[in-house]
Amino acid sequence: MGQFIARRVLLGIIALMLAMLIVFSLSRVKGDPRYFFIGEDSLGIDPAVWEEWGRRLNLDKPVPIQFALWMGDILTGDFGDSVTTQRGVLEIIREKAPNTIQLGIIAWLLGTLVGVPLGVFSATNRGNFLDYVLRGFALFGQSVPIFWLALVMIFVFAVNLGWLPSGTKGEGLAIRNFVMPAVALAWFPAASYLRITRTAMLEILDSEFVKFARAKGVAQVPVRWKHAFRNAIIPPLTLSVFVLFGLLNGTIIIETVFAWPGLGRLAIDALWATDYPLLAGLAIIYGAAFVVMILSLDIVYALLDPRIKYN
Amino acid sequence: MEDENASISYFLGTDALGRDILSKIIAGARITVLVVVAAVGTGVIVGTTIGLVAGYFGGLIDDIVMRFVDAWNILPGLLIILVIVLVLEQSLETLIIVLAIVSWPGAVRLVRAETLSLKNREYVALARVAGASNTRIMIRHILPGVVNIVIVTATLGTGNIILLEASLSYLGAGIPPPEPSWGRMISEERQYIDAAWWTSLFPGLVIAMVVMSGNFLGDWFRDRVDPTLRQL
Repeated sequence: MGQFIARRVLLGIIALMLAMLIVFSLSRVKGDPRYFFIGEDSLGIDPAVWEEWGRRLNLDKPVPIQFALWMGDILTGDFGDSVTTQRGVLEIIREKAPNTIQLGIIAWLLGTLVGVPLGVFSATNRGNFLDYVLRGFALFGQSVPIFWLALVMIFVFAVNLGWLPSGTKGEGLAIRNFVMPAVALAWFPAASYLRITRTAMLEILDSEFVKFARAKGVAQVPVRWKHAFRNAIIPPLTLSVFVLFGLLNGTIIIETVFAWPGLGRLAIDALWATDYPLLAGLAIIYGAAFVVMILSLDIVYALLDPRIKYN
Repeated sequence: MEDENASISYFLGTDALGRDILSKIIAGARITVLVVVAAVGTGVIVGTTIGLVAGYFGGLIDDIVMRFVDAWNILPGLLIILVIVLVLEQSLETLIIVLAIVSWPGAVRLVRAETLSLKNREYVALARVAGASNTRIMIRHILPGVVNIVIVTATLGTGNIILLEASLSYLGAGIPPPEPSWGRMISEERQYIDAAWWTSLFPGLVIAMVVMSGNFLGDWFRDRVDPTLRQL
């Protein structure tokens, strides 16, 4: 077990280094990286300042050394300053992160708590009308672009019915503001959980030991939840990695639609303003967050299913 | 004239500049298909080659490739894509590169696994006895056994690539402006949603239908190619 965790941690470190290497090399592929750090006024810039930037980015040293020094800066928390606002990248990210984390957690809970039970329900009602409805929902949910879904929700609930606000977060945890972004974000995960739970449940419900439990006279409800569901939980859990991945990507899109003041919106603003340091910092922070989430998930996974081999 | 609702002359209505939505959707299909086929094709060819080499030779090459693929899979994909778009600037080529980058690791994993199971078969050993070179064995003897499952998986993955392309276009990082694009149609028309809902509704429905068709095609293909793969 210890060795297993050590291997996963090592993988996480490799992934982070890879992310940093990609982000770093990208700043060097189009000639002088100073253009990315100084911004629009780099053309008429004072030569002394230009030189000063060269020293700050260590451009007088060989590229591998530049990478090592840059990585050292990142690891000590120095992500540089945003080109547009001249504020520290880490400071901006720290300010906006709670909004994204709140939205992400709510959407994740929503997706799991809706998708998994519906998957079980769909499997236990195999072949009847509700099963078809749910499968249709799952198929549709996995095919529809979420930004479009969000727009349709805005059109129906904000523009026409006027029940919910069409954007921005407001102060604190105002539930009304969270409803539409969270539902739009949870839609795809819920559909994926539904499909995979349904498949896993059907497989388990068809197995010998469930048939035996039935033959023994165990009631329907305990068979479903104690015998079948506990064994069907691993596929949805494995899917959680992809769901979290999808949620992180989804926040970028959903926050843009709902003008949500989080990290995703920040990323798009940075893209539009060609704010390289900010976007690069975001990519690395998201990468780190992702590595931590996957590691914790791996450990939960290993604890829940002792059959998993650690090699 | 502008923002006209559906009529006989404009089946799906017109947008804010009086352009026919249906024509824009049809024109957008061409560019979407071009981008997605080029991206998935590139990704699959690169991935298959790497997977074949890694699986066939094994050892150190295999270890390095697989660690790389594992690490690649836990990168924050969309953000890395945005950094690439920021640096390389928005263009069709950038978009194709970016989408190909997303689709290659899956192919590597799949082809490697299949190659591992095929390379110890007797017919491969016989080919080696007959004096076939490594390259010949890989291309003539192992690749044909791998290609079906690769095509099936690529078809199944096309839907997600189309969704990603639409999302990127919506965010303004996808298909660059003069070309029509479904994702950007939705983003451009969203400000008129209270007055002209059809301008953003129909492109979204079209994306959903195309993605669904891709999934159905993949499922059908899988059943045709290998009935044992059929899932519940």
